[in-house]
Amino acid sequence: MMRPKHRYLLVESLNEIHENERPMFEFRLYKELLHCIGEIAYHKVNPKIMKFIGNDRFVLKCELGGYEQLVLGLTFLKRLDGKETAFYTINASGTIRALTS
Amino acid sequence: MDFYDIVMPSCEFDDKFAKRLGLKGIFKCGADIKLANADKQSSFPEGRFIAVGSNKNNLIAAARAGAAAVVVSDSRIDRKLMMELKEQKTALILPTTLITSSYNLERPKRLYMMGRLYSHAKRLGLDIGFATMAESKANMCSYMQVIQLARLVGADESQARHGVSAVNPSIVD
Repeated sequence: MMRPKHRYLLVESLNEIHENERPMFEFRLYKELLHCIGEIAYHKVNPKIMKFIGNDRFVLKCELGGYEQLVLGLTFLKRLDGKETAFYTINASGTIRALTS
Repeated sequence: MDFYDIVMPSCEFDDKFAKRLGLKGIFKCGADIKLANADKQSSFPEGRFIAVGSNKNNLIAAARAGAAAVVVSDSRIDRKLMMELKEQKTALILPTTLITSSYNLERPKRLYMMGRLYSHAKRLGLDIGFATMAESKANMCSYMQVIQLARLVGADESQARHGVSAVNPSIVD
């Protein structure tokens, strides 16, 4: 069976994400994305934060088939933990190296 | 292909941010092109301007007065307005902020109405631009996000890209 293909998105956050807040941020992000994308489609997207770059950017991995829904989900996400926020998809690539170079 | 966005006068941003979003330029209403509120005024500035509002009679007057583009705030179809836009060759801007700034059941309702408006405008052959018309940095989007929102409304990939890359700058120039 062939390895499933993935897409990596470079996402910039409007608000800073400090190192001690990252585990909680990750959990809240997945919860809100589940709300935006829906239970039916979430498993086809399967988002996962791969790494943080600085205090306001991170690399998000998803299945290739769910890439468009993830971009839309991030666009719809305007509130996280009661605070106003925004996420901008800066770049997308098949590898993390191409994304962060 | 270069992508452009149009934002409201209250939106503050810097050029580096625009570049990070993948946009060649962000046009600000009020600075790069005049803005007219069609709900509050029935007389319009000279030269090119964008008319925003839900009062259909005032929007028709704006198109006749030389508006470069029109934003229908409530996304409702008015056949008389659409025909006037076609006759005056006025572009129609579909603002993505209407979708991203709404919540819960309001959002699918707005998506549905904007989809119907887009479909009607496309059938008539109008120039359709997709812009955020953001009032703050939180409502701004990268070019990838605007294109995906355009596709959600009913445009295909080439129409969405055309709306963001060709129609938006032609409204301001």
